[in-house]
Amino acid sequence: MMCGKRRLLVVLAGLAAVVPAVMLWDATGRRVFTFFPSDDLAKLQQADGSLTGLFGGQKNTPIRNDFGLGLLPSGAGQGMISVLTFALPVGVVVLVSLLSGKHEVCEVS
Amino acid sequence: MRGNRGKQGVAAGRRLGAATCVAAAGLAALSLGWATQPSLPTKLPEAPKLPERPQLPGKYPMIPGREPTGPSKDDIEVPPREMQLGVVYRTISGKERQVTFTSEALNERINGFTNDVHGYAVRGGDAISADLKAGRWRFKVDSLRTGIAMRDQHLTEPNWLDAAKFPYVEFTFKKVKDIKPVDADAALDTSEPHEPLTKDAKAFTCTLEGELTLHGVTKSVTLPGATITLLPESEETKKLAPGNLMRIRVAYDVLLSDYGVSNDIIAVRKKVAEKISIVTDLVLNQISPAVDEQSLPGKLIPKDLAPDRPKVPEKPELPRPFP
Repeated sequence: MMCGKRRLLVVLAGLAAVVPAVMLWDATGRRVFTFFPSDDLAKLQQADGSLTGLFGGQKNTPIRNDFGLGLLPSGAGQGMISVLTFALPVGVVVLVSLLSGKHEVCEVS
Repeated sequence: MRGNRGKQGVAAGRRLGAATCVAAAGLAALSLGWATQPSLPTKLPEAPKLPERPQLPGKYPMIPGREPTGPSKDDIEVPPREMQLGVVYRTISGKERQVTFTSEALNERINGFTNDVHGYAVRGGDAISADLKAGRWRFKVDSLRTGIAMRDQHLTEPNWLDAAKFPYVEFTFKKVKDIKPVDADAALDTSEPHEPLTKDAKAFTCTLEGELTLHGVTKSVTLPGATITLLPESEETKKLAPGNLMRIRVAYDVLLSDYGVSNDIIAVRKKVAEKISIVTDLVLNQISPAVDEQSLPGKLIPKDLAPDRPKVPEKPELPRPFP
């Protein structure tokens, strides 16, 4: 079996990769898909009230147009970044490391 | 020998694992720093100037001597029969968002927007009447924006709104009823964010009836809680659009299955709600008859909308001449 300390290190390294990603997902609004600020939405947001503001009365709900790390990727390129794309490779590597170390003999000092 | 190779493999695997973990952690940390840094676009970029659209001669009864606010190939021509029914208004497109839709699904919330609604409305009655007589407006499916390009593309595909086959979402007005004036001093009965009405604006709540065409399916709809607001032309409004303005705002829900839109993402994966909430908020400007023609005293601006005019002092009675 892999030594306890090394096993712990592998698990901690895995957590060090996954936990910030999950924290970022939480901090940026828990979106399902990764969201990058959109120029189209920014232009629409900027135009809010340009006409209806003359009347007063009801206003549009503000458009949410900020970065959000999603659970899933939202496409190719920068849209690939997501909790899944962080966590999946890390999880696989951690698992492989833990399983492949099962025949290792612990050194006894 | 085999044992040594095995040990080397294990050691190499462990090193690779550790290196990947560290790299991934670094990447995640970088992303966290990047996404939360203050230099993220907190200030929105300047909106580009809208390109001037070519005036289509003869298509619209433009106000003489004034620049059109934007006839385009997407505009709907007002039938002559409907033009006779009253004052004709045309949508001001390409500026503020005019349609917002929201899907509140179990697994995701999606908002979509368009500012590319084209159409008209005809208002009867006097200058402060919300008695709509006719109207029709529509937008292209591919003008909807959700903020994720891939999702915008999906919306236009055959298993969604099928933009190739059914390019427009359209509303045809049929009737207005339950028209009630809104007290300018009182807040509108709504949970939406709002502010007091502008001094010269006159608002009415009403119920709109019409036909909604989506995904090639046309259904009669009744939309209670609509608000129609009228605003006479002023120096301030002229900066944005010529003529008197009218705002039509209505919020309603549609069931996608009613319009033949159904797929696994709605029914099984629950990423898009079956019920879609829509807010239509149109600002239209008067195009016919020309405001100048109506600007005769007492014709366009009724007493309660007209600005206070200085009182003309009465002429003093001259003393009667002696016989």
